[in-house]
Amino acid sequence: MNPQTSAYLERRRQVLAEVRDILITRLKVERAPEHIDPDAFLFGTGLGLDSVDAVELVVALEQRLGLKLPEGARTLRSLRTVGTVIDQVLGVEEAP
Amino acid sequence: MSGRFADRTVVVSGASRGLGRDFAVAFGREQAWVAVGFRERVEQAEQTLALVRQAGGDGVVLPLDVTRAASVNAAVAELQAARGGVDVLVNNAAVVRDELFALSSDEAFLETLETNLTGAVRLARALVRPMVAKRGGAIINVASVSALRASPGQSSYAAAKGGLLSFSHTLAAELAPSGVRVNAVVPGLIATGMTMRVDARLRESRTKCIPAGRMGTGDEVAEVVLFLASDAARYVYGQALVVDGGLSL
Amino acid sequence: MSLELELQTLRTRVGLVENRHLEVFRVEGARAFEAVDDAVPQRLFLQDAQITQTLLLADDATIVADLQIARDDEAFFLLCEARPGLSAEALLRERLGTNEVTVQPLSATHAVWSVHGPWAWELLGEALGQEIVGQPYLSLQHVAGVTCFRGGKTGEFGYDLLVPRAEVEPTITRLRELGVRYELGPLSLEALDHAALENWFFSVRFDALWPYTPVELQLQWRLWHEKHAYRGASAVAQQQAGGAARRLTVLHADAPMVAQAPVMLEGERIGHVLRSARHSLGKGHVAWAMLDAPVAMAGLRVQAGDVAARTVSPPTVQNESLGIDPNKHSFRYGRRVG
Repeated sequence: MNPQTSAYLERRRQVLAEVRDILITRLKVERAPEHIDPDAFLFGTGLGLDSVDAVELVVALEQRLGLKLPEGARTLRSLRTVGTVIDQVLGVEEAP
Repeated sequence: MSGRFADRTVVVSGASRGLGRDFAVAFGREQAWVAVGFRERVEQAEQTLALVRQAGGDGVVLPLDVTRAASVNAAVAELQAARGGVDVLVNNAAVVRDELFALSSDEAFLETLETNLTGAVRLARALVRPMVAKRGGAIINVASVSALRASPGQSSYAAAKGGLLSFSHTLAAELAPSGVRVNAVVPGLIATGMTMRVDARLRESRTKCIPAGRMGTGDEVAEVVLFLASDAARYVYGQALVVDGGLSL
Repeated sequence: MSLELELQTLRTRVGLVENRHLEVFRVEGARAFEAVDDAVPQRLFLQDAQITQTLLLADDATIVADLQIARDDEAFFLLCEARPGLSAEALLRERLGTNEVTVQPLSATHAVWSVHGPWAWELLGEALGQEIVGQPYLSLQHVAGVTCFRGGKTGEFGYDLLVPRAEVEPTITRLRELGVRYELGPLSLEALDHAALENWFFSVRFDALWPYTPVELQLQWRLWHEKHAYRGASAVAQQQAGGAARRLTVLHADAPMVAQAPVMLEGERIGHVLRSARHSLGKGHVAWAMLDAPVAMAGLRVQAGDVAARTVSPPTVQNESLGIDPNKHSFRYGRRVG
């Protein structure tokens, strides 16, 4: 495999581990890390987080991963799933 | 039998639905002439007017976007031409833009303030000189229990309604010598449009905190608005009457 | 009506469909909670009127039914979509047992009509009452003679209405009459499934998914790890312990992708396409693919057969519904999302 690709995959795995850790330790998601699917929905369906959790999540992502999220309603639209959070951190282009 | 407000001119902003509609119809029952203010919902405003007429009153539907000075000025000009002035203003138009503060935006905050506080101020200002000229009139500002009892997620709404209470208080003192009375009504959780549109779980948990054990009805608030607007309240100035089943206690 | 038009309706306005594929059952009895709790893989920790989403599995942990459970006081509604060819009623009776609970199929006495789209709340608020507007996602309420379940698998506002047969005609007539102002259009099951694919919602009708388990399909959130007695539990536990070798992943491409096409990363085969669809808003093509777990991640340039594609994080639609605040926006009064 191209070393750049390997490095990207490794980095993505690290960020996934960080996000899972935030979900478990800060947001009290009662699941083992590997039981949190990489593309699980965060709010409503999926992991079933609510709007109060959203504040915790945004603060933790900004603190631990250096992410700067937009204010207002747009914040939550960029945090739909575990995967879209990782995309934000890594600057990966969103799905259309 | 003539009602307490027979042939008086009443303006209710935001009267196409919800509490505003209940206020308009209650004035209709007292044979008032009611200008049914609305922003977009002309069809619903017409339904309100039909209910006002059924109840024994009369009036018009009045395009009235309190966030736009031009709309307010045009509405007031229309009222002056049709009725020669206004006896009662009910500042009821309001929006809700609940967001958790940490994730909130300037935009939603300013929008709430613009309608719920500045809009009420703008409409009062446009009507106050004709009232002073006639040396009579009543302004009733519709605040909210959110201004008294904290409700997480409603900081913008509470700030606007709290501002409206302070505004009422001060304006009452300023206008008292001119014969214009200003008061506020503070509805609690009322089983009408705006309350029914909030998250049902939140509504239920808050209903449990009401000492009276239930949500209020629009008519229960309207009774108090009628009182504040009537001659029975001729010595009541700058008060905020809380109609909330005890929620704020 | 073409699928394309239906999807336009669903993504930008409101659509209506009789949902014969969603079968509703009511479970009652002193041991209703225990019976349902024992039968399903999900934690049954529900407040009154709340809905949870789960699955029914075979012994090998493949999926035989998509199940939503709604608590209604001490009883439960089960909203079940069985894999085509299987009977939802037979599955539920087998799983729930017959002791001390009644399982009442409601399809003889009721019909299910579904309303989906960014403005579904506004039409239903007008037709059934403003309390629809305040109904939380994944909850039920009884309103205007119908039971309304809010959920949906399209990413837009979605409601399933359980309507007594005698009330269907007046209810649907009224929805259609009021619906004119919302440009209400008909929907097909095909359109709903298309939207599900784009929005990362499982459909039990996607036959290409039948060989796979919730662990491979990223549906572990529909299971609860402290449950061990449901059908398929041991196969799930075994797979979770070893780590799944492959995982469902989403692809995006400018050209159509073909089911079964191999997915290649830098010349190496890493999996294959399961199902593909044209993006409903004209933004290329979307596919679900089963990829080797170590590379089943978004952000990679791959080949799907002859087509250049990239792996992406679903959902692949920025749903209009997400930007709507019912206190602010209105289709009827022209206050659309800016």
